[in-house]
Amino acid sequence: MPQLTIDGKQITAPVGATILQVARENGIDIPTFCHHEALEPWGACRLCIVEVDEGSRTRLVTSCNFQVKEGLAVTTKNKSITAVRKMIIELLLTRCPNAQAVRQMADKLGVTGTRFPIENEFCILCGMCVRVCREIVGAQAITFANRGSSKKVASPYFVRSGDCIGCGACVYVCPTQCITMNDVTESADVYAEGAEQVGFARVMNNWRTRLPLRVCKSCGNPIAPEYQLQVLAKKAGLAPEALDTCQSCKE
Amino acid sequence: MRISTAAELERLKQQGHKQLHPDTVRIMVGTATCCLARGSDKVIKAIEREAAAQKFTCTIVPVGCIGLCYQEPTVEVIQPGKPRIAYGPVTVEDVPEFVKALAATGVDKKRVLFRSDQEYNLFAAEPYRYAKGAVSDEFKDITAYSDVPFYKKQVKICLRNAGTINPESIEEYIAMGGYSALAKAVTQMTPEQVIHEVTKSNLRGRGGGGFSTGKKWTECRKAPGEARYVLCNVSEGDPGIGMHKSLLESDPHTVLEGLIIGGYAIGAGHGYIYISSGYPLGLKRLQKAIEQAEVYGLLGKNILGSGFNFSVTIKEGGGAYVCGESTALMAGLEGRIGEPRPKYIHTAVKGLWDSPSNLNNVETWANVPVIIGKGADWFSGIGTGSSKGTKVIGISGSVNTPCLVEVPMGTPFKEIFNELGGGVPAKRKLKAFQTGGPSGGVLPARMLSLNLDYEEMNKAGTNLGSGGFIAIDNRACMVDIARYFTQFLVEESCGKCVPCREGVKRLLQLINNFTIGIGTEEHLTLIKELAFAMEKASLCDLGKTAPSVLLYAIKYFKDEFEAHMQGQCPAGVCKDLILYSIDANICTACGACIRACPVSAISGEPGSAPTLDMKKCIKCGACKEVCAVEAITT
Amino acid sequence: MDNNPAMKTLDSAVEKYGGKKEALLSIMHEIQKAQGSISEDAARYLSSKLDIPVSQVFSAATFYKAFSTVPRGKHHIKVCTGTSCYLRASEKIFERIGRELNISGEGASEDGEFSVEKVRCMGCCNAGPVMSIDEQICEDVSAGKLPDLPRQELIGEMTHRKATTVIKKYREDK
Repeated sequence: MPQLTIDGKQITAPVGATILQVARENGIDIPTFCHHEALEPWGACRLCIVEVDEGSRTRLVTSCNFQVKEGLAVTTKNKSITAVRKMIIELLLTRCPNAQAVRQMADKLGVTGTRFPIENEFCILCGMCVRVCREIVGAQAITFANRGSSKKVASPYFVRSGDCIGCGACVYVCPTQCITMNDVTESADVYAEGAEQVGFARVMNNWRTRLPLRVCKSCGNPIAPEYQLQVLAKKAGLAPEALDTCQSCKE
Repeated sequence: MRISTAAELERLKQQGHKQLHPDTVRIMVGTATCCLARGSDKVIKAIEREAAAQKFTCTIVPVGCIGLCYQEPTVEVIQPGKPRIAYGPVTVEDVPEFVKALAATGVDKKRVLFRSDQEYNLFAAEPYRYAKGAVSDEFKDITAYSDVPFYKKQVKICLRNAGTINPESIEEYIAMGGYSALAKAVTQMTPEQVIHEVTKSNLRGRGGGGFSTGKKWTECRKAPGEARYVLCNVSEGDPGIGMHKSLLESDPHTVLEGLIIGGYAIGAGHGYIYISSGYPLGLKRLQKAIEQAEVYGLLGKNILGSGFNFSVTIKEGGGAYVCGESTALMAGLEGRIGEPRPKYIHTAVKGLWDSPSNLNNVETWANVPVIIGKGADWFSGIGTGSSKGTKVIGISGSVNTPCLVEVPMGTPFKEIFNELGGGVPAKRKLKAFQTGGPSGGVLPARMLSLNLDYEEMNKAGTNLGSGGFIAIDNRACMVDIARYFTQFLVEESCGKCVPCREGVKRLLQLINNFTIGIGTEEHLTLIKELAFAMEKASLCDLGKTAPSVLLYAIKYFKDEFEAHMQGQCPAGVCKDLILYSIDANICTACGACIRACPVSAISGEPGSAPTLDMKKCIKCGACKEVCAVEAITT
Repeated sequence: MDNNPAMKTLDSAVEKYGGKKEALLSIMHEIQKAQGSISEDAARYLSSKLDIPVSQVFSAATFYKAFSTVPRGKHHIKVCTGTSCYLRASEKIFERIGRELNISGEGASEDGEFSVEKVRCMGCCNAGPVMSIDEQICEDVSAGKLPDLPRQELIGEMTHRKATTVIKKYREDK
């Protein structure tokens, strides 16, 4: 069990833990945007930067994916770190000035505005939607398209995704809540493909995907997307039509 | 065909020797991509035709880059028993006369450049003399290689065979001692001894990192795991100098041999060569080299009876500068997008598919056969205290004699520029030079006093990078140059991390303020502040070094930035700050500019200087280009 | 899918690399060369053949400059904008071509005959500025002496044959 110090505090950490995990366990606050406990660390927002002194050298590293070592001396806040974090949030504020989560983080870090010409995006490219879809859900329905500043999250070819199961994990995990989905009823035909598609459906707006909802065989209310239920049934080794009764009717 | 022992290799070498030095005339024509762009393939066909027509017996051999880029198409001729003579330029139109002269007198006096009496072969105990006996009269007047800086200043290790052998002939490579180092390594040395030799040589990464190659190999060999890999990076660190591509096109086997030796040393059973897209000839020649090596059993199972198995795969990249970075390169090899990942755990321990992987630049690998063949002491006898060996340099830009050379580390840049590059053309003045590519710095002319040395360049606040040399003259605007490189990095950023993706975009916006004349001191301060965050917090070196060129430009060319703050571009480049004008005193009224203008902004009567309507002018520069008397200025 | 020749191309590309998923980029190079783009159909087909998600193919197709998701023109022009060529005004050549062919930035002409792109370095740094038409490299080009493009009279000397014949043929066919 490695012994290290964070901001002068002596800590014994579990093997293989990251600085961020250990810091949070010990009530030390390090800001993050692209981190989620359920996902592999991504190291893209760079807000979690800390200074580590490994004896032979001192450097700034991202705490979310740096494994603790015996004798490590970590500083979570100093002049350089503060300057870097402020610049990062200023850059994000430039890109997404109207995203609430970005404004809140800016407030927290003491940044009130930006000196760069603002845009009006809402996606901060934290990648959590892509990662949850890949690592937890396994559908891999969405991904990063393009590179550099034209990078964006999208479904393949910016059309309806054939792999999306409409679970809503991406909606749930998005820090700026810019991913939306809604369930539509009979008369709406958003992204419908042919008359038979019109009906109860879940629309994943950002991915231009419309997924017909399976209705409960008892009460006729929608349960979940048809495709999702098929995928789940397959995973559970059940017949495709097995999941056909809604929760309330089951009881 | 399979060579199973070192003795068989030696026999093949003797046979190949006869192929290299036949009883007939051997005519060698450069066929690297740039030589072909100058029509050297047509020159070969023309020589074939003429030789047949004039009944002149000769063998025409396509070779790699001869290096005399300013004299292309270059041709070298070896007549049995006579010195080797370099000719250039020999265009298709020149060929009939050229062949006639060769047939009649043995020398084409009109196009002759240099003569060499002795073959350059690092592995030959006794250098092979082309000319038997004293130099005869018809050759005496021709300038000897040994008197010319282009040859005198060079020590060729990576380029030792370039321009001499047919790069698509493994026999010729073997004839020059090729694969003897591999034989020595796998039959006489242990892997540890090989690593020891490479470490002792002090070979440092030639891709720009400058890390100790031996240390990297040691770490990788020691790393736990079953599979391990050796990787070769042919990602051309500097888009503007085709050095690494030239190496592959001229002598792919030296890279291959180095990689196999490395695989043996590190304990890897497979190697990958990653070549960025856009170099089809290099790819083709490398593929052929691999096929030949497989046929000869120098790749595959039980190499030279040693029990060592090794195979190589080439992978063509998708076109991304960021894939020059090791973890991005490995992502590309795995079929994913080239997004780097942290290297808190070195790739030597967890690299390709999380296995220990040793990645080196193509030029680093090319040195390995010579280090093993001639020994670490020989290699470290060249260069300076901390920078041993040689460096391949592509000299380009505003120079009189652009060329591809290989010089010892420690060579002063002054010599590289003046003696090898021939200095700046008449009427121009050297303003700056660049060595490190987009991630390096652009240095002012006065820093030519620096030497080609890793530490010295770092101390001066810049880095050696991949070592091209691009001369920039007074026609260039340093603000525009900084903008150009920043634009490049905006397009090449992978976009994963915030400091780089968002930062480099804002850097470009800031510098564009200067190119349109609204730059201020506050902008300069903001640039420095942003640069600090990018250098400290970016995920990879692309982001970390992205502000470099801009910062160096501001540091060394502050006066140009100040001029731009006043709304002026002294070099006359930045579109928004210039006006085109025709000097009636110089103008010859040829009308070329009138025809060249795409928006008909120039008009005039025949016989008198035309007038330029600045309202219509889109500042495309076509008129200035076609004007033969330089009457149009900005 | 009514495009058997297209399917054949995809099949042979996959076969050439033994259907291995890590050979994705190499396979995509083959397809790009043969079909001029990585279309949605091609991506879905690759996804099923290599057992990888469509999103992975799409992500690579849009990340790497060697691939395009929209078809290139029948004749593809590359203008080198590496440092050496840039210092010799290759950017102006790119702009000139864009004006002549009515293409803004990198892309294809409306009639799909031509497309133009900026590339990093073609490796002919001392022969610059360099451009290529259908992979035939032309060196020493200048904005004032561009190869014979539609709607423009030939000015100055021609430094290559291919560009003239290609474009002449285009004008004849019109």
